[in-house]
Amino acid sequence: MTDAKQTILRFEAVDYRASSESSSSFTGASLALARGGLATVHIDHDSEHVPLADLATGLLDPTAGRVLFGEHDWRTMGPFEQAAARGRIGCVLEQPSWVSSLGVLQNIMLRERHHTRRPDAEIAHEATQLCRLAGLKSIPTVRPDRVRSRELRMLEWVRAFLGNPALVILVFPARDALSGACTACAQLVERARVAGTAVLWISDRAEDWRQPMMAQGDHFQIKDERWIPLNREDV
Amino acid sequence: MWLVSRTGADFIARLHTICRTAAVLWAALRLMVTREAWPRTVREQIGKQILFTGYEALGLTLLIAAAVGVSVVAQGQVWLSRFGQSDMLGSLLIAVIFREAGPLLVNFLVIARSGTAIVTELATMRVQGQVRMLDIQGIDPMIYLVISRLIGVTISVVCLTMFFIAFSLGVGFLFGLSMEVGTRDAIVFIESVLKPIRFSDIVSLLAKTILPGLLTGVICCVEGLSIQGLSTEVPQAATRAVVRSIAALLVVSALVSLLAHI
Repeated sequence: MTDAKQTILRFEAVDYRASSESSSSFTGASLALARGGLATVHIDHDSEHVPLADLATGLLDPTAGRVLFGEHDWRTMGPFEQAAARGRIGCVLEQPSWVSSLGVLQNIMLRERHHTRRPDAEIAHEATQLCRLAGLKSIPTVRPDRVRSRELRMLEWVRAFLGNPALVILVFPARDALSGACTACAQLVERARVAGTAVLWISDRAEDWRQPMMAQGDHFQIKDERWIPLNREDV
Repeated sequence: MWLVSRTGADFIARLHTICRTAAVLWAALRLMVTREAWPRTVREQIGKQILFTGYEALGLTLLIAAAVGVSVVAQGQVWLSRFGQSDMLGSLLIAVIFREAGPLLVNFLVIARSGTAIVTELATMRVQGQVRMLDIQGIDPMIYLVISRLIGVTISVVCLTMFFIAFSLGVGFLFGLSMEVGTRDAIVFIESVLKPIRFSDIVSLLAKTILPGLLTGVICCVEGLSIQGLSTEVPQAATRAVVRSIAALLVVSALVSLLAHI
């Protein structure tokens, strides 16, 4: 039995000091994201890259504090454990990234095919369903460079939500997407949360916070390198 | 004094590169024996690598093999007939093609054709954030990108060398036949080719294909994945990878030849 209250992602007093000028530093980040939970992080439009996704997936170690996934500190996990844990996380990153030697459908199915033994047809069927929920007709099989960037952005959501992951991290998910994309993305989030997926939504767009479902989440802001919890009515 | 310190720094840098490459190779070999290194995605990557490095290079390999077979027979005709030893054509073909030219030329071909492609592809993936995307999805680049290429390149080198040797010997025989050099009997020719092959020759052939194949794979992967994220570094990485792969090939071939004859 899975504990309904199980914490999927936990930041405990995390400080991050950037080693280069291309990323932002912050201090005192604390959050606990349970199964089916939602947390949003507001970032200034002009701020540098905030490596929250890298910290949450254990690719970066915090300068101070701990980041736990499924109650396990990333730093105490072995490489295979880390890889398996990351296989349960879906990500939409700030810069779209696709393996250029694979088709879009192959890219979308890659994580599930790598970490599970689910039949290809079953994964492809689920991907097609998610694709329609995202407002797209079908998943292209051509290489990613042959697909419009706006469409590609929405296909990244399909990749992130495929396989009922434990956690989905959305970094500026509606940026560069088709109009009305935010609502479609919110629908995917709602559906995934019902299935128990925790969602961390990072954005700099006011439009994102106006989604009705945002009222249910915990809200944070990174301002002047400080991690600030927000009241729901302030959002 | 400046020259001494510069030479010392260069030596230490080269030593560091060799140690890093050896460490990656060792880690890859250790990973290969784990269950986690063989998901279907990696097996498919190995298949693709064999298709690209082995199958697609077969035509060119056979063309070079034919040229080598003809050249060796043409030279052999001149020299062996001068000494009245035309019957030794088979032994000559083995000495030149089986022991030295075959593995060396196939490795050169693989470095030039696939080594550059591997380093360029991986470096571009790194620049475009594709490696980070794989990592963030729990797809270890060491398994998905490095191991698959190491295995694919090594299998391809071994198979291409076998084809190279068989084809160049066959062409050599046919050319000898047309030039009326050596035996006219195919069975006698095959016997004369197989007779001088010793067990140490087979070990030496495997060593000259497997080791450089592994080294080419690991050097190209390390150089490709080591760039810091600028696209201008890609051609530099490709050049470094080719030079280092050729150097490793020559050193390994020379060492194996030396050990085989001790």
